[in-house]
Amino acid sequence: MTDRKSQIDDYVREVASHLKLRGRARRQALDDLRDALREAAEAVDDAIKAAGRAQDYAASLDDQFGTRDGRFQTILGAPNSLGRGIGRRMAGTFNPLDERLLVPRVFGIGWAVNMGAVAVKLGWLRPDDLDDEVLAEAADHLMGPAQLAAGAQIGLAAASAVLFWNRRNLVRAETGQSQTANSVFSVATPMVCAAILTASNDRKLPAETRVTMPALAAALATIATGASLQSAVRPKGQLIVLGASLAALVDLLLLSYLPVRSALERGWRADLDWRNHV
Amino acid sequence: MNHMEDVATQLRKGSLELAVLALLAAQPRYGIEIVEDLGSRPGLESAAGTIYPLLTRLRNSGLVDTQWRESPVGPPRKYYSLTKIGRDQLAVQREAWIKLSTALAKLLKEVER
Repeated sequence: MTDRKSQIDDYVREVASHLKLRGRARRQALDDLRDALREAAEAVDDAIKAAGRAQDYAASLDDQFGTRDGRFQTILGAPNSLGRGIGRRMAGTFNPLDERLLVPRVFGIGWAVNMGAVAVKLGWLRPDDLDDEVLAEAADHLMGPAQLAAGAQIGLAAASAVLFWNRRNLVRAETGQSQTANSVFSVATPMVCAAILTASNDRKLPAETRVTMPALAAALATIATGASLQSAVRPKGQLIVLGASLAALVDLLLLSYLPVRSALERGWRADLDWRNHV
Repeated sequence: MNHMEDVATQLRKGSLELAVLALLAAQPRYGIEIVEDLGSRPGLESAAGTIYPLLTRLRNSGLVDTQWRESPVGPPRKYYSLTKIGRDQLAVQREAWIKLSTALAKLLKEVER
């Protein structure tokens, strides 16, 4: 009996590893497959053989549900954001189901880190932990602390921009270089971050996009803070910018992870209460 | 796979949903029963690896529902049956299919002459 169960579990796990479909449909599809194989009783070998190779079964499911293949639009091999789909690129920065660590940047050309894959590698999440319900719960009720943290980072970025703005003539005299581009960046970035943070409250947007927005706003604000402080205080150095870039990666990871972690814990608690009640 | 089989596969792929809905209209059936029934109809043979994902999608779309039933031999089985939406969808697809196949048969007959 155990052998048959582990045979079925192994096959379902292998299908899951090839499956791009996500959310409730994914869970349902894998449950259906497990049920169908269990019906085979003694003839599990034959049932698995009839279901076909795991990657073909996963491909058939993705085909039925029209799952996207996840390919990027590229220029000279580098992904870019010139095409449509900013929401999809934002969601891609925290997608535990996608095992790729590098995904297209939200803005511009190049790569961003998929913090969902990082969370999986750190053992904080399993690839299929996030379904539609968990994401909706995280986006609708549990983003407050992440939004507060992002708001604080944006405040710091704005304060740093004011500091740089007041010192821009001194910096120009010290470096002999125009500070127009730096001034525009330091002033405009906090505004962009505030817009992203505000948009995270828009319930018309997909939940998987919304949960990444406070993290993206905070990360961008942290980089802007670092750049403004670097220009204002040590215009010839790079250390503050480097430190801010590392801090931005931490922002991206933690502020996307924490709301979904809280949602998962709520789900687990509700499940436990229900079991105890039954 | 030769060209003839390839063409048959493509045609079957488009009509498989209708075939499954039609089978379920007569009576609820479990997964492997559907695979075996289609397998007994030349031209509609399909692997379990094609039918199970299709059934999942139909259930996800609300066209079919499932119910566990005891089996006289072996473990309980998950039976698929049509919902009201599934029956409506079957009627729509049936009408479209008959219209299409009649028109195509007429066209092919004309070309044959």
